[in-house]
Amino acid sequence: MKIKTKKSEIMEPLQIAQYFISTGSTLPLLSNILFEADADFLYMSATDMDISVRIKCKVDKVETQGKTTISKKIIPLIKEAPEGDIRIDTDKSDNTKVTFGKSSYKINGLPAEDFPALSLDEKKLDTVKMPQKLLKEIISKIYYAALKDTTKRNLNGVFFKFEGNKIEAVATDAHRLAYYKTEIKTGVKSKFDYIIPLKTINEIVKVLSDDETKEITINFYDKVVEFQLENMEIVSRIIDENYPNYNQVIPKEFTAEASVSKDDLSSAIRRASTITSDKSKIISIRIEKNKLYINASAQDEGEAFEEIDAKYDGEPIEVSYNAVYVMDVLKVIEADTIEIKLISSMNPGIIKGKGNDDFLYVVMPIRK
Amino acid sequence: MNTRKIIHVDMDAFYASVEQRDNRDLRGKPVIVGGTPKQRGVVAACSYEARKFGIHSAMATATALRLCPQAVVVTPDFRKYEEASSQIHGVFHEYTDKVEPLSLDEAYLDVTDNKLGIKSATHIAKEIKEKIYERTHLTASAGVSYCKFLAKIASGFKKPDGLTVVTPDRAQNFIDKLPVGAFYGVGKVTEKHMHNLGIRTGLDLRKKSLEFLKENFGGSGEWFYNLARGIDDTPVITEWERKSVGREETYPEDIIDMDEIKSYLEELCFQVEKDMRDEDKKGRTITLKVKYFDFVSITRSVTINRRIQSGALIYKYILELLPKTLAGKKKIRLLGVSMHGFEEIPKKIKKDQLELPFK
Repeated sequence: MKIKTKKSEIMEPLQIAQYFISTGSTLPLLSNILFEADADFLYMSATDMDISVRIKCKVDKVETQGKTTISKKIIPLIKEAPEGDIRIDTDKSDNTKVTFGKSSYKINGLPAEDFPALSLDEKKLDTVKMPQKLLKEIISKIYYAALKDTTKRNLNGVFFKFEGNKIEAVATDAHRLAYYKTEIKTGVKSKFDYIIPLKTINEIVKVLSDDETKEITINFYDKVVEFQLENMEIVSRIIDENYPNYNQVIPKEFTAEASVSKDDLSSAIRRASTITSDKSKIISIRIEKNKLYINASAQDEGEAFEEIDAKYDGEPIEVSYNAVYVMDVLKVIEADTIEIKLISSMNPGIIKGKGNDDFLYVVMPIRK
Repeated sequence: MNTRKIIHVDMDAFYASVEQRDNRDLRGKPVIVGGTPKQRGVVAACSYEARKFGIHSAMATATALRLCPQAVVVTPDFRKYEEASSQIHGVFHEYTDKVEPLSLDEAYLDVTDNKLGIKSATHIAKEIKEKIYERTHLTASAGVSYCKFLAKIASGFKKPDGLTVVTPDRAQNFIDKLPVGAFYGVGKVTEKHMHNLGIRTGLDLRKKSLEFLKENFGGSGEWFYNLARGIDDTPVITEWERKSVGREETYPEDIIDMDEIKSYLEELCFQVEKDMRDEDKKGRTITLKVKYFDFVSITRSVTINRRIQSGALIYKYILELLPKTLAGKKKIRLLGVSMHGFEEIPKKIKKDQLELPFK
């Protein structure tokens, strides 16, 4: 393989590939990037065996077609290279020569034939197309609520349910749950659902564009899912487990419903949580006639007290939450006014933006 | 607060039972585990057969043999006891990780929230006793109650192989009849003092006012006042929680220069901060350890009224402790900084975070 390219052409694809390179794998091949050059394009692939990416990359000129794997050391090297022409030239024993300006580097590689790939050869079950911007919006609104560890495997991902034109997406760590529903123009033929690993979601969200016109195609297979963007394909294993019945924990009837300015609420909580202990960011929220009070205290630190104007006309109610859980959702709500809907200090409560019923957040209190 | 469920497990004549288990010839005989009279040894443990002669632990072996000349003296083999102990702890941890070991053969368990979700602590105690017997062929006695004080007394109630439960509604009656010597914190001296004041039973103790007890027993007065009413909130503290976090360093050359000493100490303080951060701990007791060139080693501690983690703060307290040593006057070969008195809050908070009611 012999190619002539520019730093500006390959830097971004290399950085994307870097997200997908396995960290801490014992297989040396997985710390490499697969380079494949055909007549027109260079393709870079990286995988950690759970998720893989293949990026199409336009280069100046493919002088000799071929393929090899190159150590990930090429990424910092290209990053440090000056703007301008770069030549990548691989010999028969997979050693690659990288030259630019007056610099010349040799990077050892391994044969491309052994590079593992997540196979797609099962039957494609269905496919869906949507604007990248919409998928980015769905993910950003909910994915922080997913379980960060694998103690419950089925929660360590984001749940998607497709039915005709409808999409529902859910993330939960069993303490709070974020729910998003929307519709797309061309839906799926059937009805099915998938749990996409959080690791995949974290990478996908980085590569999705905010451009309204760019689309993503998602192909569903039995055990994997493929995301097709204009210049890359991402294949990920799915979490092959049952997702909990989230409808049943989203309360429908409430004893207290208040609304309050989002900015007032988030700045008050941010301030009050400075007085909580590092580990347990407990804040108490008390809602009375047209007032919302926030109280926090830490044994060795002190006490916080905040008062905010609210719209509320019910019995006083008090409930304690982990401030982080509340802040997480306030960060992603766009509406100026927040609705808080409660049942009691022991039941799930709902936080949502006023006038938007497509996104809601359920949070469990802390027992006082 | 919900009623806790505490079990105190106490192995029956542990060392002696292990020896009798492993040596058929010792069974049914008075056995003393301990040092020989020649070594001026004392009794570490003795079998129930030996106890009938009035032998008890900590007695000089020579005295014990005068009481019971036919007793067999066995040198302790701690490897065997440790092995049995770890088997026993294995059983405990099948039910809960909240285990506070008091010695190789005795531990408190908090089974309020146990791993198997068993509601009855009595049931758990019974299973633990059975499993201990299955795995070690040794018997244990267990006491079950809502606090450590009563669980411990209960385990000693029907020894060996006993199981005694003190429920909250029976507790007061149980405590009233106890001799004061059985109360936690009442040693020989206090017991005599109490007797002189006419306090012989739990009931006598309960009749005394808080002021009276404070006047006569100082800081312990309130403790006794509460115990007589069955109030004992002391938590079951696992070994992990009790552990201290510390760093020490032996220097290649003895040091005398104060600036040098201070800079080494500051470094140690920040290492301790890092260790505490890693373990998510904050401590309230700061200890300075100094070993002089002649290998004489001293420690100086201070306990403050809040828990800290910051290396800068630890260093501030270490500097206050430093004048209590001979630093600067006598050459030093080792310096150490450690912290204890940790809080258990992190675990508790997690527990109190309610879960979504998925079915």
